[in-house]
Amino acid sequence: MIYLVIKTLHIFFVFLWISGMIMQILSLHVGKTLPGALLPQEIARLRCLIKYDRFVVAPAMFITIGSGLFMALNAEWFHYTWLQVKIPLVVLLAAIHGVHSGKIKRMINTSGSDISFNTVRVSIIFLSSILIIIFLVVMKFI
Amino acid sequence: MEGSTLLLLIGIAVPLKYLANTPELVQLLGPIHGAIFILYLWSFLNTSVQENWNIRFIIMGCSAAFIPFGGFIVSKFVQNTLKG
Repeated sequence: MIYLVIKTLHIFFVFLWISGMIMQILSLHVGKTLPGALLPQEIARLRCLIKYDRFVVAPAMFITIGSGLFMALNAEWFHYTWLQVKIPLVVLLAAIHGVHSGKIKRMINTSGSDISFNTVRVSIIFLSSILIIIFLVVMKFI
Repeated sequence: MEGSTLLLLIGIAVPLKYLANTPELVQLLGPIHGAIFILYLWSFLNTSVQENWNIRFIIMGCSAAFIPFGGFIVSKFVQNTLKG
């Protein structure tokens, strides 16, 4: 029963984490695309996004990882290939989240002038990582 | 924290597993170290991108997590950089 509860929480927090990362990517894309310096209203919106990231998205990420490790320990999945492939992808997503959080903070500090961001490349890496993770979890035990 | 768990893992848990045939500590510490490693990587990348650090230093900082005592050295360097 506890395993099912943890699994439910794991999937719930995955949704929170990934949706937060999509918001980050969209915000960075808009910040990069719109010409000129950031307006005060845009900066205020980005500060709200940072707060949301700090209190919802980042904790969701850590709870996702923690609950995932709990399930893997309980079910003894660490020697299965699917999990060994999944773990680096999760690390990659966490790294991308960290980088994007830093970029958004930097965007506020420099008023948007000093940020490099390639929406297409980031989106491909991000979405394909998620797709592969879902495939691995659905297929399991390969 | 990351440096400490790495030292515990490779200094105590792994020798116990192979010399004393007790793998339980590795099974416990391994995932804990993994989670803390992700936390370290996330905070390091967050700070380094925000402060616009050199790419070479970012790579060195990420690689230091795999080396014993590397985390402590990076932590000291980051503290000095942020102070000055």
